Amino acid sequence: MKKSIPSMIIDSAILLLFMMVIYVSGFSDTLSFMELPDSFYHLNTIFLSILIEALPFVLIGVTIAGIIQIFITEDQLKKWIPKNKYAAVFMSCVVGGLFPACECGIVPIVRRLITKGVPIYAGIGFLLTGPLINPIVIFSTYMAFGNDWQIALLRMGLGFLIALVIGTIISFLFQSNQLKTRATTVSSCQADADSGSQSFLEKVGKTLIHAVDEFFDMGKYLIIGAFLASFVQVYVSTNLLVSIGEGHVASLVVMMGLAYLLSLCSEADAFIGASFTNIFPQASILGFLIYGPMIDLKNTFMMLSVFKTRFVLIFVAIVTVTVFIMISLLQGFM
Amino acid sequence: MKLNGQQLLRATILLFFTIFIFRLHVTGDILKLINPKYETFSQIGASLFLLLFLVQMHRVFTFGAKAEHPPHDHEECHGHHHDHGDQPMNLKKVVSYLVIAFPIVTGMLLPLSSLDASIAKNKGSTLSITSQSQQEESSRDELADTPPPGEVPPGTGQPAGDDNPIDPNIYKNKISKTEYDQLRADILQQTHIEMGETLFSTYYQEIMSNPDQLQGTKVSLSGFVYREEGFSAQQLVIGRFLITHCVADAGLIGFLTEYDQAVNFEDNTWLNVTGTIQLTNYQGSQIPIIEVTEVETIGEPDQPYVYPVNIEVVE
Repeated sequence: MKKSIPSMIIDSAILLLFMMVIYVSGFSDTLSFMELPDSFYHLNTIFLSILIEALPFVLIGVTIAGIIQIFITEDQLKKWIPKNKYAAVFMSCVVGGLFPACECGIVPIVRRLITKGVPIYAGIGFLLTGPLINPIVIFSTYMAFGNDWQIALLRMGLGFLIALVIGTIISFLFQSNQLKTRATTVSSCQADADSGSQSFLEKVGKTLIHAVDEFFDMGKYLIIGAFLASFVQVYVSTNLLVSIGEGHVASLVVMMGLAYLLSLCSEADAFIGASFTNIFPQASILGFLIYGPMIDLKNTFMMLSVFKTRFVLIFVAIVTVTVFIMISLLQGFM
Repeated sequence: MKLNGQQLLRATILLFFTIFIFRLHVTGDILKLINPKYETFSQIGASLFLLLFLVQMHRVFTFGAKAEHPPHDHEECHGHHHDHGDQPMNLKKVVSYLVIAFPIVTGMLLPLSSLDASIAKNKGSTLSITSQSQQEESSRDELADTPPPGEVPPGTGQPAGDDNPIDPNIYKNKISKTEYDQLRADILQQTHIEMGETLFSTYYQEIMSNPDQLQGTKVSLSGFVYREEGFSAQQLVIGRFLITHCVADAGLIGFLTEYDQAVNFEDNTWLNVTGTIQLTNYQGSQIPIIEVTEVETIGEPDQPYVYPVNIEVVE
């Protein structure tokens, strides 16, 4: 790297960081005198809690992504994925259902799979069912709704169906991989996984280096998403939203909006969803439980770090409309 | 030898995340953020940060001939687009490093708060979680296998053993499925329910689902004061936040409470109350209300939050 103004910025940034650590270790307790409104402390606490909770999942996600990058070749992946579009969507949804991921950890994994040549629609199927359908989510939903299987099973079943529909729609609309860069072929990256000459240890090292890069790529989006979600929690009143939600359609809109804004982990949202059972019809609650794991505010930002903005916007629209229509159809039967 | 400033910056940030998370664990502040059930998981996360930091340190210095070509293992593959920290700094990257450093700065400089009534107001709708009673009624009877309420009038039934038969560590909150079912069955027969912390949410759910069977039962709990709009001067809610994962998913669980001197207690005051469960009509639905007999002001507990019990399905 050339020694230039940018590198001076770096040096001063590092200096600043070190000054910070000295400051923090020396005076951290005396700082509480700072006069900030209470709500800001709450905002900060909720923001950090989302991050601290999400970071291990993200780190595991980026590490798995690194492993895929280094250890799995494009050819191997091609063999596993069915040629037929529908079969590929179906398979990816099933694999997602078996894979116990959460919505933060899954984005880097999907990105890596797609750079390795997995078609976009298959990646999306995996992205949708991964966080929604897994044992922990099923069980926490079962618990939250008073040990009742109905909601838990509906959540899984209907969620799977919706993921299939979305995957299929995506397969008609998009052929290319929709990743952020201009380049669409990644064949040159084959070198990473093919080089049999490397020792296992070297490969592990590279895997972790990849994980670092991936973390810095995605970290900032996670942080912005988490901050916005906590802002909503502190400053936007749920009561206000709830008061809008009279009637079937409006209540579904409100619950889906809440799921989007609150950006809860799919393993924890059931308890929040359950607290609305008296206010809203069951179908709206189901909308909350299915829509939230598929897409939310925090997740949108993470997807923006990976996919083209246009694709993310269209994707969010497709998910929203599909979930809305499917739940409304269900409402007719309930 | 050549120092790569940007890689050093990345290494520093990784190190700070490691220190930040471990520091939360050492000081115990982590409990203000997440359910202790996920403590180990968070430590694994911090260890991963440490590992990534160590790996990253290899990139900070480049030696000899290699210095001309930074250790960029796939120089030729630009289809794969992410930044390896080798491109020169520009404004966009400065901003993204600032964003990534932001939580470390606020996390280390600002004290963590405990959620209070103002957050509860935003989350709202706490008194309305009653609908589970109907759908649960049928399964409850076979599950609990209690005598019908007619035979054992609530409040006069035989206390089933101790008032507080199981007291697992609040921070573990683990009980087996059989114990849990037994416990839920026992609740309906107790004459005095002491909610404690470990089983707070379990008791809460039981009382919310069976207010009619538990009418007249004595109950003790501690929690903070919270009011909703439209409360009378005697009414307040005594409740606590239930944390499933992290405080972002906190939900207030609490009971509507009636007490003559309720006005004396401001929002967020921590109280230890004892009273009897009665039924009342609140905004069109039947919910339990606690008629308070004894009140004691207490300080905020070290652990203000409560957690759902973990039922071990595999026995």
